[in-house]
Amino acid sequence: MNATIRKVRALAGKDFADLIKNPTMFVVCLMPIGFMVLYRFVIGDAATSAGVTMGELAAASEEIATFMLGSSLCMTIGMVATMIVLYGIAEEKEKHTLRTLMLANVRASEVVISKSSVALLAVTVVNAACFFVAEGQLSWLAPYLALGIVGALPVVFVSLVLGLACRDQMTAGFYSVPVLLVALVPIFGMLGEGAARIASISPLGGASTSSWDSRSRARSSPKPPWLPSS
Amino acid sequence: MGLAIEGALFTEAAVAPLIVTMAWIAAGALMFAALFRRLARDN
Repeated sequence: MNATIRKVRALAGKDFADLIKNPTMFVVCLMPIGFMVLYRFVIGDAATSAGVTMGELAAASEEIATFMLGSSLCMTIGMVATMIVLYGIAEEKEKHTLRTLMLANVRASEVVISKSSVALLAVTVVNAACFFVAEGQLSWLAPYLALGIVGALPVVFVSLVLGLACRDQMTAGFYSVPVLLVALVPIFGMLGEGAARIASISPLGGASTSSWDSRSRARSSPKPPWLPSS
Repeated sequence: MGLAIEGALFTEAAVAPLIVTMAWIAAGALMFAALFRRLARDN
């Protein structure tokens, strides 16, 4: 047991170093944060050009925060969890370091635990960064991070399977696209009632459903004018 | 996420999203368990 923990810790350290060294994995961690910065500017500009007053903007701030945090949750899980696991395993297979590890008495389960832990940790860190960029209230932080981890679990499982099926990083890039697209489905749930229904049963629909679902309609809260009408 | 922001994360309204998420976690875990042995080989 102690040996397993020691090996997993060593592997996690190596995987973390790989995450920093591999440009694809590192850039993918910065992308959700960049999107959040972009969203903030776009929403601010759109509100100004739509003639929204500061009072109206403040009234819609909770809706905006819900949309931004829901979107960042999907983007972070879809990009970070998928890419770190897929590219991590694919790189090991491509460079034959997985074989070296196996010959060094490291079990496949230990590699899987290490990759998953690093992916979940990266998701949490990127989610926290997105949260502060989106200016969420501190009381929302703990549930937000918890939802991030819970929502990332199915994506990590699927990515592990796809990662093990990959031959190299090029295959990993191909396999990651459908997972990323499915993870982003809840963002498009605001486009209409049908889209919202599909989004609510998608893998991240439960964790990141934005406010433009039945709950919001029941409250009859007005949509900000810069968001598309249903 | 909307429910968390409204402070309604532990209410009845959160049951359906929770079931959806748990179902996907279970489906992912089952798929992983079924394919792990077959795929966990080096090139």
